[in-house]
Amino acid sequence: MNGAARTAMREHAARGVGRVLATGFVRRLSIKWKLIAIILLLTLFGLAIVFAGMTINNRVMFERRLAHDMTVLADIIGSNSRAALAFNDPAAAAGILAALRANRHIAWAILYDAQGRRFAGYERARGAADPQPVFHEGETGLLRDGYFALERDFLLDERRIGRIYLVADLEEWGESLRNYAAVFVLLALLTVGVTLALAVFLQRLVTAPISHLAETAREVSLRRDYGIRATKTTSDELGVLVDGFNEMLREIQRRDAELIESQALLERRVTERTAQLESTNKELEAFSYSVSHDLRAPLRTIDGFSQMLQEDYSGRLDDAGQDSLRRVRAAAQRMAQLIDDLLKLSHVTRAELNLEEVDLSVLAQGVAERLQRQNPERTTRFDIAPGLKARADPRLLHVALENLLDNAWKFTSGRDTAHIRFGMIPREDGPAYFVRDNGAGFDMAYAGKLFGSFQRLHDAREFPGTGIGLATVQRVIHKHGGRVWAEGETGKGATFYFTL
Amino acid sequence: MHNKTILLVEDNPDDEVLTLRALRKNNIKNDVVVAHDGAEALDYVFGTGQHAGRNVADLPTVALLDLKLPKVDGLEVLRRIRADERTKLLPVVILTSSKEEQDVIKGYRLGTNSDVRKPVDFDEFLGSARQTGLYRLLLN
Repeated sequence: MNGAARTAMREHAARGVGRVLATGFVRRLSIKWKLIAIILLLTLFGLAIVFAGMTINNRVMFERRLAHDMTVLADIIGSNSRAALAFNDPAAAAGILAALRANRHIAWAILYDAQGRRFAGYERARGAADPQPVFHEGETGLLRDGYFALERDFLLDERRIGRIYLVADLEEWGESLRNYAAVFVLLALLTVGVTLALAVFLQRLVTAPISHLAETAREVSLRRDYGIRATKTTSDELGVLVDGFNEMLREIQRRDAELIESQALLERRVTERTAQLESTNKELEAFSYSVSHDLRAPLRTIDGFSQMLQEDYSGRLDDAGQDSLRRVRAAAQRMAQLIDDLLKLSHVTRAELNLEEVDLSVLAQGVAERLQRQNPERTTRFDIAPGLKARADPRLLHVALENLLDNAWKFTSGRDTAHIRFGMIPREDGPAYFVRDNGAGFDMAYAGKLFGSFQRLHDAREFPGTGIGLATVQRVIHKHGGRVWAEGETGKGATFYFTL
Repeated sequence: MHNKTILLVEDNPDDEVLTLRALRKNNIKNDVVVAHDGAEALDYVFGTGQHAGRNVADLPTVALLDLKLPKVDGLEVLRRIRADERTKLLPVVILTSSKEEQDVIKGYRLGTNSDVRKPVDFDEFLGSARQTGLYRLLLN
């Protein structure tokens, strides 16, 4: 679209706005009154046109009649004055002219002789309010001041013997005009009355169904009852509208019903699923209970009796036999550890989230103190940023931090000066907390495997572990809707980040 | 005092052997009476059934009670001991197999003197027994 066209459109829109403002009042009128107004306007307009036509016609007729009447009058005066003109008797002529008094619309009359000299005159008696007319002798037809003038020659044997100049006022026209106006006003009033009555009666044909439709729509929206129907009374466009309206209501009702039904279905399903989940959870609970109890019992037997062999029969076993026994015991103990960690993981998975304000720094500090207490021989520097608070489940977060710090502790065991940090960096998606160590680190190529169950990146002889710790951390963080990821470099340490 | 008895309620014969051995190795020389299920334990404590005629007033020094037992389970045994005036002061140590079981016990709020988790390593077992009230009770 070019600039000019856009300007034109904007102007068009502005005009549109103006129109809306101008017709704002009309727009607010109800259809009933709009119709009545239209009917009245049209009727009055028709009436006005008829009256205008009649007035114009009457005026033309009036002028024609006036001219004719005055011609007749001039001719009568002419034939009556023939003797006075012939005998040059202006007094007799004036007497004849005086008879014009009988016609009150004749204002002046001037009689000229054959040579065009003024012979006799007549002037209508003027009231005080009657103005002195300004006209020029010889002017004929309609004069400027509302007079009509006529000139007529008197002929005798094709020879002019005199001439008369007659001036009449148009008072008669004024009178009939006033009459017309009165009749028009009367007729207009009558028309308005009759039209109004008729319109009020007739508009019902059109507006009653519309009003009914509007009322029904209002009721529907007010009571939110889509079972209401509009009644169809006509088969014109309004009938079609009513049908469409009812069809729409039926459709809404049908969809409502469907919606309610599907909602009920969903609720039923949710209830069913919840029940299923609950029973599954209970089964799982029972299962882990028996796992923890029943799997550990044989392990105790294996380890216990191996220990007995070691203690009571060591003298009868050579080094290879002793080594085998050590391996049996280590395996049994490792399996016990695996069971414990798996249970912890399943516990975390099933645990309900109880969110509250948690001081992560305090939790981390607690874990750090425990680690130092358990291994007093190690010198490890802990840097724990104070006052890091978050909305989280304190028990689950304790499990997560414990795992992360235990890991950091474990993987810095080979360092002369182990350094473990807990802190926070602000990120776009909120604060990311981190545990950083200067321990064994890991190869970033395997970063994706870190959080899988039983996934281990280090030799078990160097760093013991079940490979479940980070999976547990991930479950805890995911339960909080957070993210967990790691950065590291072999031999240089690792950083584990999590958001909540 | 050393000839006061210890009541061991344990259905697993391996665990029985290992527990007895661990006690001996730790110089606990009390007589140990072993009940192999909950019903037998109750019979012993209340002098009924096969232990009919035993003097109820002669309480064991301590009862080591496994939770998962045939016939009557450990929690029920504990409940009955606590419900009886004659035995409600009997020190009872629950032998648990897991942390989960410890949670279960806490949930019941039944008075136990302590609970000791049975680790795979029985030396560790007695080590943890030392940390709780159990060891003190045994040496008394």
